[in-house]
Amino acid sequence: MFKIIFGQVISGLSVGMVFFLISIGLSMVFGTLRVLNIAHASFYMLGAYLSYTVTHYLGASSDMFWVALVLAPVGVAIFGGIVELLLFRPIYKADLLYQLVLTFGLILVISDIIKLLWGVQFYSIKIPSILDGQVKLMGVTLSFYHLFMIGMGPLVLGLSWMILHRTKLGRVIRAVTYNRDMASALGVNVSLVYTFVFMLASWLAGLGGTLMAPMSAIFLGMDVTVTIECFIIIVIGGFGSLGGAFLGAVVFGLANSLGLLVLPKLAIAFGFIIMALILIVRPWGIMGKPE
Amino acid sequence: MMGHVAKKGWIIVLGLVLLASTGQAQAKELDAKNPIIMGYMNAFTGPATLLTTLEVPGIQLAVEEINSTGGILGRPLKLITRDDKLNPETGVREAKDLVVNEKVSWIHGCTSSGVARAVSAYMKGEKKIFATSVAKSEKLTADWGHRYFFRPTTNAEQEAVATARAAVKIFGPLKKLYNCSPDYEGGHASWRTFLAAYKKLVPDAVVVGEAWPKLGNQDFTANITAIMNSEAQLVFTCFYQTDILTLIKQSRSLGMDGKVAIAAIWGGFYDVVQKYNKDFYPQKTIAASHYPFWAMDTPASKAFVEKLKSKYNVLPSFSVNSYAFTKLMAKTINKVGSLDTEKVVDALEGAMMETPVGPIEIRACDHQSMWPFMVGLVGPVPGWDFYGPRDLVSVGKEAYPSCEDIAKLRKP
Repeated sequence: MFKIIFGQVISGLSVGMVFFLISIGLSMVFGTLRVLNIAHASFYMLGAYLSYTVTHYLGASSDMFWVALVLAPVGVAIFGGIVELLLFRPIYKADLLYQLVLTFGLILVISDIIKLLWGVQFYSIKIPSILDGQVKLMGVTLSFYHLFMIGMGPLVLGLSWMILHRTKLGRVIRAVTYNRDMASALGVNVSLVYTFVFMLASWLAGLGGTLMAPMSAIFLGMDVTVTIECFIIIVIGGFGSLGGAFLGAVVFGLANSLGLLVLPKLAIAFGFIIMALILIVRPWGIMGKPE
Repeated sequence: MMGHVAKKGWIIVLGLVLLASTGQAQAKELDAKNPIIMGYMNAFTGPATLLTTLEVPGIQLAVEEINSTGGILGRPLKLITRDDKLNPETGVREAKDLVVNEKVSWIHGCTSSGVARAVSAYMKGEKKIFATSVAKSEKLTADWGHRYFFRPTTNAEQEAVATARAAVKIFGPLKKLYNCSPDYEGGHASWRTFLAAYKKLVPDAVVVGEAWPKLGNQDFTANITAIMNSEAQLVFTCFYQTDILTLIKQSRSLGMDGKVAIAAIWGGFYDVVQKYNKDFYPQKTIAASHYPFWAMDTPASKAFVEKLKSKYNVLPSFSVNSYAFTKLMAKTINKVGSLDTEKVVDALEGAMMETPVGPIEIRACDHQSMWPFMVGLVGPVPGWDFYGPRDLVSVGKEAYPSCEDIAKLRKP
């Protein structure tokens, strides 16, 4: 019995960690830029496609994955910077509805750009050779790659926290998040901060895409498979909170994987049920702030 | 003002020109101004476009071959394509436009059984032929079938029965079954049919677990762990395209690969198979396809693969069905000698359709082609650089419901 539960806990955490990586950017963008970017998952998809191109054209060896891990998120970040400059700047002051419509349109545009550049077929990249194996821990078989994914979560959370709380740049970002006008009055170049934060969020989404790619496939429509889950996580954890995104991801991942043990037919509903409960009991999320 | 003589001269010249031109028309040249038109509709936008791109080259090749051998009734065949956006209302609207405005003689297409159903109902009212070679629901030829609908491919029910029979043949009568399939009508229907057919052959088989992740599921770890912790001997999965790839990758990563037998009913079509190679393929797994060309070496099959590759740079998948049916339509209309739908339908019933797989009967009672489903263990395939099902077990007519069953389903 323990074996089964432990196995499910590990699997829930690894799923959760990938969703965390995608969601953390979404949360950041909402917290600092006050924009709900529902096209965020499209950046995740773009990261996956870029990782295929990098691994494919730099030689088909599975170890090219590490090169892709560096290059693909950077590519997505650059693309994110362009999008922020051209598309998001005009809508910061606009109504939430305009933001939703624009970012929804962005989903379609990015999807079509990908179709134009990569076609309609799906792609596959391999797990890097070092991580291609399993280890038995307490009688449960764990995949190296899943452990790697689980490790990336706290690593990214730790790094983000360090940047935000231990660097000048982080202080500036927090200042802008807390009170944009005041920060601007004190001489902070708010527009630059916004662009930077958006690029960082895109980088994270691209990283999520690159990490997920060896474990599944790269295909049009993979953005849709994670969008709703990311929103559930942000709602549970609290918009704008990094720790909240982490917590929300862990809760979501565990709810799904443990729910599978209890009621397999309803397993996909568990995340939604918890989200609904949070909205009723504490609508600003576990670690969010009431506004 | 022309003089008398000049006018006469012109009349003679005109007469000679007219004579010459009628002589031309009598030569066997296709009258490009009077083509016979066929319509093709499917998703040209969105992720399902992939299946469209796997089906269209077959029709294009057929049209080319038909037109180079005299066309249909001396007229060229022209193809018009429309986007149904995977939506039934759009499909019916496009079908109306094709029939009423473009005056098509028949329509081929539709990946979605939902769209196919709507278009089929419309075409029944218009008394025009409609054929699908991707949409899988058996209901299209059973409950929803009618005189004007044809299916030149396998259907989901037959595929599940075929897979069950092949599984017993290849793996032996394994008793403990596990199901991990996508949570939608097609997935549920496939499992139900497979289980029923399997139990007929292995009456004491038991289901030790079931999982229903959604289509597009990115993480199967929980399911794989559950399977490995159960006593499952045979896992049935009808995940396809990217989902089956994901499942296999994660199964390998967790060490389940090769430990339990897997029946991946829809894991053997070419779009997935091309991703299998010696470094990455599912062990102890049977997969199936209605056209595993890599394991077929008849001259007809080889020729078809070669033609499709050299002209359209694509390897066959659903193209084989659309190709075969388009050629059959041309041959039948030529034989009947007219475009009269009733006469053509009568001639199609019971006809033997020539295909790279061999001659296949279009059954008269439901217009379902007795297309075989071929199942085999995934492994190396000589002559190709990918791995795929081979040593095929072919299950054809015997896996389709009988005409009596069809009649019962069609009773109002």
